[in-house]
Amino acid sequence: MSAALLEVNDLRTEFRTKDGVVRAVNSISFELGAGEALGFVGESGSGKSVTALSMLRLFGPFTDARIKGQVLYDGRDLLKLGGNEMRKIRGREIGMVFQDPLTSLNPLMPVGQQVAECIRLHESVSRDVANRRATELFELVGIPDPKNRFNDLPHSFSGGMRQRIMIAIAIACKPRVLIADEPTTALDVTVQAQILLLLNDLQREFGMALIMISHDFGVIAATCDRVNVMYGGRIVEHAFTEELFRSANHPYTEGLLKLVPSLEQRRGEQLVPISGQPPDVFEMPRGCSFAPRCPHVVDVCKEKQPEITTLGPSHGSACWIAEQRRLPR
Amino acid sequence: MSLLETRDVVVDFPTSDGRSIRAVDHVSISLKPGETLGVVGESGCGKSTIARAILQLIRPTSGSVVLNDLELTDLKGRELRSLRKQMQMVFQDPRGCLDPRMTVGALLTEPLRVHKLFASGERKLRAQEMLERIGLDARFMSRRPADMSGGQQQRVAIGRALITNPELVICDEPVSALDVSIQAQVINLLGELQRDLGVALVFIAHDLAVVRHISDRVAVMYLGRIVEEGPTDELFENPRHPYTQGLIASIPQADSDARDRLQTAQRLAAGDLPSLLDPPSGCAYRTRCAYAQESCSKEVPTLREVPNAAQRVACDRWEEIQAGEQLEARR
Repeated sequence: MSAALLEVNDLRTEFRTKDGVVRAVNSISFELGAGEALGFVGESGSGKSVTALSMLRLFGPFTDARIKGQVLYDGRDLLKLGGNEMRKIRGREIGMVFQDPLTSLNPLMPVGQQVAECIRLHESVSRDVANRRATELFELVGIPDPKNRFNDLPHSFSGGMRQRIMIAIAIACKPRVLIADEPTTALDVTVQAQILLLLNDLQREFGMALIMISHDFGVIAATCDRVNVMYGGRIVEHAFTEELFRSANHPYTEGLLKLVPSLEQRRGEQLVPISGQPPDVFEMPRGCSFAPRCPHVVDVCKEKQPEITTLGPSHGSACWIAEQRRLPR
Repeated sequence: MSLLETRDVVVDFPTSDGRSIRAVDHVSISLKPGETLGVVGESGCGKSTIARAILQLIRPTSGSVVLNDLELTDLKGRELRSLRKQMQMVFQDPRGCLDPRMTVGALLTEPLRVHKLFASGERKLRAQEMLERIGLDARFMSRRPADMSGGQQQRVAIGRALITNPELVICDEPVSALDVSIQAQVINLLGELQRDLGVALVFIAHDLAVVRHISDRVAVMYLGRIVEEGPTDELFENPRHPYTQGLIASIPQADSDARDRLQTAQRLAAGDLPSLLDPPSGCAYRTRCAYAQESCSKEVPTLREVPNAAQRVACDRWEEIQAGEQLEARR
């Protein structure tokens, strides 16, 4: 995968807060090829959203965030770009969709204009052209009766329709990468299925690369070719999605897959929970961040952080006993 | 004999412009002692409202709610309050229902104090017992909610609900605010407590997999009505109502068919939920149903028994639809 569109090397993000330093992302590296769909899965506080926000440097002026490492997009390091340059990347080269469309949309601006605004910001086209394209985008993302709804305000749309509007804004300039951060978490399941299907279709149609962030393995399975499992600000395992479901290696991944009740599971079967709590962000364990909860912990786990052990062409696990666990269980 | 029986419960809410919406529409359910009934559906289907209507936290507009042969809708004031020790509730957000200034010990003894159960000296003992049951060690007695994680808080909320030894506990989305690794712990805890204490549960959730895991029977609600109801495994393995089928197909599962299933989901549950202010005539699901016909708009289908099964389904054409699908599959 030499021709990676996006290459992230040793990304680290720290927040300085009044209670201390939070190391939200701790040395993350990954690659994304053109047109590829990559998932990030993990629980709250695992650093999956901060990874996405760090890549686009989307922290407000009141957040004291220190981002280190490299985010190479098309050979350019996004962390070194100036404000104006960065603004040309956001929205135009890399689009983003967030969890809650209502806080991302301007409540006082007709939705059509919000899409057209984004187009005119990045391309020198007339208002009429931008408006026409906005209407076409509404049609594309499945908003019924797009011409008549152009001038409606966000509040008059359902949650699913609002997320479609957000997607229309995100893809308005045909970005090469779309980052979707829990795009369906606030939606009902039947609507979630529709939005995931839409994202799959758009991705295929535009040859767009997709980064999907979710706490739900099912959502990742429905959208992604490859997946990174995050825990305590690190990638603990990466694999092709199907391979991960077949042969998860890291004890955290294995635990996560086992504890989610599946639809095939019959009543009364005990779920196997992961004991304990996720790590304290102010006091990360010295060794492997999962060691305090891991059923397979050995001495070295508490002392030193494990590097990724390569298990296959695109499968790696940051576990000291990855090799042993690879043997048929 | 059933512990709880609701008959044709209707709950209307007035809107600010003088109209009204029907949040719960002729819902009849029954629950045996020690049984778990799962109630599923999407937002606005009335699942939380029926929970509150059972406990009389919201008074039903019409219909009856009978607990142990006692009609609850006739009761008020002290009579109703004294019954509350028999019917408790666990809410979604434990932070919202635990007083931040009280210690866990005080939170657990409070229900006993309010209902004048046990001598005052014995209450602390009961609280300690309950603390152990909910999987927290004795040090927690003096902690306050702010010093605990969401999962631990929810354990305390569950302990508070169970400490009066109720016959019925209604859980409204008890695990949906928790992280997945914590969800499994709380689900297992609820299952254990239910088996050990023999309490009946109404378990309300939007997550079908969780409901499947914990329920004996499941009721599926759509726009205020029950559209299908039956024993858990039967309902999940052989859903008859097109909405139940769509709902089940929509759940993303961690396997290799996940992408293909999205197509099925979109076909079976198209579009958006209609507004409660302007519900469709006839079958409420017809605007999203893949099999809808002219006739579906005429009459509201009633919940009817499925022959030779313990299921009930509110679709007049389910047999015809099933036969059609089988024919299609054979081609």
